[in-house]
Amino acid sequence: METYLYFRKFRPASFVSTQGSATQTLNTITGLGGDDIDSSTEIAGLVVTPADGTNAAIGGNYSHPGAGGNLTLATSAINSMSNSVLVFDNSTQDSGNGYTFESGDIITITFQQGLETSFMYPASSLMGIEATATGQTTLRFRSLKNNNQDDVVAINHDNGKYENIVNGINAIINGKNHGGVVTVIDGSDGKTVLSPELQGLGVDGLIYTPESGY
Amino acid sequence: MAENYLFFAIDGNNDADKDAIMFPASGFKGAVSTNSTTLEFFFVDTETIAENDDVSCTISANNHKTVCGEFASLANGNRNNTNNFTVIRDLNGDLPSNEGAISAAGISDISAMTITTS
Repeated sequence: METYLYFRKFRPASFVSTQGSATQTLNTITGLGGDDIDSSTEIAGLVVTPADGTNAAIGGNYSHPGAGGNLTLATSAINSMSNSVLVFDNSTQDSGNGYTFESGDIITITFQQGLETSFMYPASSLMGIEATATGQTTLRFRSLKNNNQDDVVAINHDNGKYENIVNGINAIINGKNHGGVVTVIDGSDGKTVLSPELQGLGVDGLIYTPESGY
Repeated sequence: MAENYLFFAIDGNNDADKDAIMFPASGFKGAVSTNSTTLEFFFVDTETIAENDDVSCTISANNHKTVCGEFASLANGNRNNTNNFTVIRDLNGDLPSNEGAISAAGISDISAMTITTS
């Protein structure tokens, strides 16, 4: 009977960017457990709370909500999403769904499952576990795509806990309580759900590096 | 232990390339989310000459974990003295009236699939 190992990256429930100046570049999203957001597929929604009562530079599909009101923006007007920095189209770049931010505007981002947010491997694909830093242990799996490299899952934890992590993974795979899917680490919605075997080790990061993008 | 075989069929007549496919459970390599409504399952290439094969499944938004769990239950569901033919998802709806899904329809949350082989 195979055991399947399920992982989901650390992501907050939401992130608030308060614009310090009139720029379309939002503040760097934090609380990601060491794995940046590089795909807009992880963005579920954007809501702007304007600082001012008026703003003429907004897309034609919007009505200004007034100072302190909330307006849902179209995710289709996301210009780019890289290194956890979201850039949004202004009203010139997208006359329908763009929105030109002003200093003091507040943008609230909510998240969803997107490209490579979660993943599952059969335990039989685990090739090895190595200590890659004092506070990081790396699992290597046979790749999903078979492009001659491994898929890599790095776990951040308290310093000096490599052996505990290895013992925990071993217990998960060989434990009699499993046999289906085991949630090894789920860091979604700003919460951390760990398999009991990994609790107490200060697990606070998960970095997924598949051999090639999906 | 008998091998468990996992069957996928898109909404077609099972008479064209990539209408349906079956993999041994031991060939499962893993799964990954690709957007909020897509989960992609990978299997050892059936021709063993190139990149792995995959089945990209459309599911309800953010329901990846549940679908992974259902897949694991089905993939582990092999029993001795049965044929161990397991339908992960069969979307065929236009077969002759006296036929339908080959057995159970599988994971109900999968609403569409794309089969890719190398």
